Amino acid sequence: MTTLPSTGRLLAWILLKPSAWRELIGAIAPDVKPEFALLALPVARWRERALQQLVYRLLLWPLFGSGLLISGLVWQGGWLHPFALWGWALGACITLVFAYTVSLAAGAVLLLFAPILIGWIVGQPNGVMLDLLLGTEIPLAVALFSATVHYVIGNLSPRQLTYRLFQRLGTFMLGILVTLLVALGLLGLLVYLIDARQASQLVVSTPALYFSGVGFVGFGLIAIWRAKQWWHALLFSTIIALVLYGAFGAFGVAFSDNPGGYRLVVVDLLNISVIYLLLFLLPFTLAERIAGLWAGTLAGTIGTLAIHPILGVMIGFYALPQQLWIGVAATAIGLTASLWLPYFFYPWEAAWNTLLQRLLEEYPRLGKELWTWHTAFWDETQHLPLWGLDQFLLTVSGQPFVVRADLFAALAQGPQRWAVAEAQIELDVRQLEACRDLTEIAAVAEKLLALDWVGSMSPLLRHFSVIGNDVAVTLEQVSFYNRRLLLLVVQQDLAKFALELTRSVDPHAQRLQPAAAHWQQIVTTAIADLANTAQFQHELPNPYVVGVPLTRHQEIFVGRRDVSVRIEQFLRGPDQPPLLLYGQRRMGKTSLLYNLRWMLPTRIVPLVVDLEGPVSLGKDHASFLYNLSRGMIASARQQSIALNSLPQQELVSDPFTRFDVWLDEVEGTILGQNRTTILLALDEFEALERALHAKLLGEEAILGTLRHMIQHRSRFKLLFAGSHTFGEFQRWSSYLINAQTIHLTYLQRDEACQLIERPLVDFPLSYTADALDALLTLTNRHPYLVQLLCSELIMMKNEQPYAQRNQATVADISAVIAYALERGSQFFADIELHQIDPSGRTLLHRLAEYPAHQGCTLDEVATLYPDTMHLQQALGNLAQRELITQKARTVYCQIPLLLHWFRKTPIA
Amino acid sequence: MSVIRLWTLLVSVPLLLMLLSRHYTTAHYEPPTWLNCDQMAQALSPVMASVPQPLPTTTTTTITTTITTTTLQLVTHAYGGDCWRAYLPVLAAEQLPDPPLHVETRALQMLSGAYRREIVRAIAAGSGPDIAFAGPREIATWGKAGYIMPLDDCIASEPAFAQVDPQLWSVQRWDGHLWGVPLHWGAHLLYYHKPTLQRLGWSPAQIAALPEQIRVGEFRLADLELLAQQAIAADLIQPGFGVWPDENRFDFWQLIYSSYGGDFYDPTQDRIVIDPVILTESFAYIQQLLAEDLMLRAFASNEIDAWVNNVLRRDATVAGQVLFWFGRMDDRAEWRYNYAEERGGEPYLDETIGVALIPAAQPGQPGFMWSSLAGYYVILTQEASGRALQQQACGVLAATLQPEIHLRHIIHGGHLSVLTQDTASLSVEIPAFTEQTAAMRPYLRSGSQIQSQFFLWFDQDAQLQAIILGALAQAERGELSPSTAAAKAVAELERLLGDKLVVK
Repeated sequence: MTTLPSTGRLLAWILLKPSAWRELIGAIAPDVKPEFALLALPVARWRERALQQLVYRLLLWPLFGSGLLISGLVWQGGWLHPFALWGWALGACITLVFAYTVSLAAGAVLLLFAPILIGWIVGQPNGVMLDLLLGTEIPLAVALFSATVHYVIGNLSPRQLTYRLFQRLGTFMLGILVTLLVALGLLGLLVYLIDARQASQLVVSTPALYFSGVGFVGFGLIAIWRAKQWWHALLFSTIIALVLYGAFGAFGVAFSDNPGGYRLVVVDLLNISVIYLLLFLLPFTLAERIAGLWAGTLAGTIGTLAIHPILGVMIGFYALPQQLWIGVAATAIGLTASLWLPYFFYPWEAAWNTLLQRLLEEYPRLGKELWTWHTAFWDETQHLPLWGLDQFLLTVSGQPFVVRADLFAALAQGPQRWAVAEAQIELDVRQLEACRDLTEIAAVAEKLLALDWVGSMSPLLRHFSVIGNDVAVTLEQVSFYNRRLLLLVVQQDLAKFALELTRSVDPHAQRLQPAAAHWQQIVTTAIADLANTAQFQHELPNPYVVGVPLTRHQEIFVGRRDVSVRIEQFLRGPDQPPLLLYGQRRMGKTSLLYNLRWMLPTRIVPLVVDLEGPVSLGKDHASFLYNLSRGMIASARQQSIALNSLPQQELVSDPFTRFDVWLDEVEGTILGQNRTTILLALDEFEALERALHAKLLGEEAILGTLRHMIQHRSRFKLLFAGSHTFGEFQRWSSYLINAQTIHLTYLQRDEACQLIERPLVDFPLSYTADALDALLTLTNRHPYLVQLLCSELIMMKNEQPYAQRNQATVADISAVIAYALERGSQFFADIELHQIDPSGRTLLHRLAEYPAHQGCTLDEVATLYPDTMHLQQALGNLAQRELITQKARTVYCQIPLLLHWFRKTPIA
Repeated sequence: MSVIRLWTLLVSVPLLLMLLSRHYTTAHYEPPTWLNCDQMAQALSPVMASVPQPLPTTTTTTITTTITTTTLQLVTHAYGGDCWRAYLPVLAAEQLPDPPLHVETRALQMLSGAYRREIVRAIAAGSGPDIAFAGPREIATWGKAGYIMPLDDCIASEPAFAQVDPQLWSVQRWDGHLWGVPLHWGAHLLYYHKPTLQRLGWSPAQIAALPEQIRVGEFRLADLELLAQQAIAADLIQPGFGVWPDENRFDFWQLIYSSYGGDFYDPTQDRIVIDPVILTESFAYIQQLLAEDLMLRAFASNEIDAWVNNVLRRDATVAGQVLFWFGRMDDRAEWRYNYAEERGGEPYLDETIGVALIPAAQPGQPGFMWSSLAGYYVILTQEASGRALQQQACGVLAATLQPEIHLRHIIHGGHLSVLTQDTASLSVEIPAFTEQTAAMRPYLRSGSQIQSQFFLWFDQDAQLQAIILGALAQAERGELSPSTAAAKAVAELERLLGDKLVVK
């Protein structure tokens, strides 16, 4: 069960921290709005203990407290006439009516001051009604009450305030119209009553009957409109009518009577209260039904201004122009309270916060209790930037008693989020400056806090993050050469970046200059150290990247020009077929996708998104689309194109429509940069198939959306990459009927030779012709295997005496096979266990029994299977995977190195 | 249907029906409830104590239960301080020798228009009362209609009527006959707030001497103005709270007009008299009060809100927010009634509120009282009441003039006695206010004479008042100078009244 806070805290939440109030109401009554009225509560809810407690705490205790205060002022202080108690009771009744019909929260806030205020007004020792009518009490009190209700409700339901200007204007005008109707109705009744009295047509007790009757009808209407329950309305309006009738009756007022003194105050204040409440509640109820809560409270608040002309008609002494102006001014001030109150409180809050910060600096041990006292943590209405809050957060965030994530999360969604950003930026900068070596630079990228803030700082920090990631990749390199090579790139990047920071006038950029310089120094030192090490060892450079896609523009990405040309040709065509880049695993599909940006004309923007991971693991469509958008944004960012973000919460209600709108924005942004085509490359499409198969995502929704893009978005071209064809998945082929498959197969001989002999300019390692042939034969020019063997070869050569280091022989090739099998075991095991079935494994094991160039006769192979059908199936599968080839009646393994793997692994 | 809904129906509907049924019957002019005069007597206990014979508490019930007695019916318009109107004949009937005579009384607590309508409806139904209360307007109307009988023979037959001030006979003489037995009359006076004068530096002796200064003409309207200015300047009272008029604007104008020596009616010629010079002076004085912020401009408002204005005006004056104000004698009875509980009633009023004649405007002129409308008992004709009890009614009304009975109403209602007898010779304890006002009686100017007589033949009094007040309002707003406004009013009065107007 939810534990309710104290009365004081509840009131503070209503006034200053509406998010906490909303959270509380959401916990104890999820189906009720934060600004709910008691009248709107179903009867069943009244029996809930939590709600009962809430009502008691909000209404009874303040009522009791204010009653005690007034009693004290009356009997102990002697400052007020005992009649003040009647004023207190009247104020309490008005407040309870508001709590019942408009909003419990608004009523609770009114209860803080309304009973005391009215008690004070009527309890002045020499107070007379004329003073009230000629003074400022009535217009100020009326405006104060109405504006308070408007303020509280506006505070608790900020969503209402997001209306656009014309909507607001419309609701405002509706509110005014409703108000006018109600005011004219009441005025008409009043004039009729006065005329009837002058003509002596009224019976003795008419005031009591009239006001209780008007109360019955008026409040009954309000109740039935609000509660939509006749019996509820009848009960409420009967109570009102009886209270009014009893009050008038108790004071014996008839039209022929001439009450005086406090009897007169009672009668007139009762009349004024009934008129006031109806002037607020009727327009509020009508306008709320027509145009929403904001219009309702606005109409009610403005409606109460009509009390002044009505009193002007009733009472000759009433200082109408003066009262009206005071009323209008006070109401206007009240309605705009949310705008000017922050300015009013700002100096006081600044003083308080400064004091608090000084206190914490002097006595850090107090911080554990005091840090939440900063106004940023309890005043959400303060939208002005609180001076020094960023420094305060920095001070507090370093303390052991504070969970930094919680600290920042508490303010991240509010108006003081700027301070969170500033503090996080400063903490990030400090982290950047605190790095002592490459390892810490590599690790810092994960720790940066302010990467996602909107503003000038985020791109700069992201740049540091990218550099950190690059350093991390560098550290993963086995060879010193590669490390040094990559660090040189990092060094260049850093130098360029530091220059940009120096040129920039952005204060954030200036703040980052020392960190950039510091990093440059670390990287330069590391390069020098590596250079010295390499020079001492005469190490061969090892440019090969094994197992990691070549996502950057690297020299070792060779060949595939034919593929890119083919892709470009497809993209040029009038039709818009989806493309499938099909190839075996590690054939270089991902590297190719990432390198398309350098291979395709600049008018084509490839946005590469890996469907493995968050995209296909999303729990619903909103999550899928959100992660897809994030991937597209990240890919565009690498090409210096900034796309609008797509917040996840915007996708909750209608994800595909919102995503479609976002695609429009993407199109607009990219085409605005003189680009003509967006190539959306979705890598590892099989991951999406798994999500569809597991019913995590809807087939119709996802594939239908992709098909819709293909058919209706001419600027978008879709390219899927995977190690399966669409034909292998029924659903894909039915949605993507015209898909064109581009087969990514083994490298051409010259491409493979370039990769082996000239991965770098002036590459010092040469191969004997036999060695080169052996390498080409063993790998069949498979890009991954070529790099694997070459990489292992260089590592081995670097361990050989310097004299033997610069030339590779067949013996060297043979020697590294075992290392290659070990390092590439994941690749080989994947083929064995996942890409082929048992019949394929049997065949490959049989082939492994023979030299690769010899192969195995078809007849012998046929002995492995019970019938021809199984034989053909096994042969077909392996051929489709490009693992075997058949010449005449002999079957060969396309990759001899693979046979080495099968030779060393037993038959299952 | 849930229990709550059922209870809502069971409780709400009968309660509402009960409330509505009560008012439904009232709205159809069922006999109004009896006024509980016992409660009134209790509320006014300090004053009641001064009356030698306390009111019998079982009066009305014993009368109605005696079968062999003759029962007269009395209907009065009475409430608050004027409650006794309904009971003087009851007490008087008890004083009469055999045969036993009792009075059944109904006190109607309603507006005067509703009261008149109630009487007329009863008469039309042939069930009018034997005795009723009437003002000059009703005497004129009901006399012409034949509802009430001339009382010349009655008055001649009862020696008690000889004690009545002759003025009160003359003002209601019409068509050669007397139509009513005087019950009370009253006057307009000047009230002032003693503590404010004290704070202004006046000693208690000076304050006590103020009525005498006004009486001999040493303190005049201009002094009133001056003192009010000083009080406002000293921040003792708010601007606009220096000199407040009578609740009726036309009465107030008449007071000022009279203070400048004006006379609005010539009984010898039976014509309205207007003096343009004095009219100008009266306009100028009132305009001056407004211009100097001694009086609130709200007093120039129309009559639709008169009731609220009046109660607020009274509230402010009794609370001591106003230094000087004009008012009727019976206002004070109302103050006593309304402020008895919260301010202490009679002692509070004696201590804080002084009463004096209306100051004259001209040097050497004495102050004066301006009489207000008198009240009468009338006897309905046999046709109107359906009974032949007029002679018994005459006897009862004569008995109401016994001082011990008559003074109950005079004291409680804040009226002037209709008797010429000196009250000092009576064994009745007279409140200070009644004594003070009785002493002022020689300075009474008969304002009611104008209205009483005039109403008998002139039915355009509303137009007449509108002309005067319209011109006054223009002067108050500064749209016309006082002299132009006065000239305009005179011209319009000439058009309205023709030869019934004498312009001096």
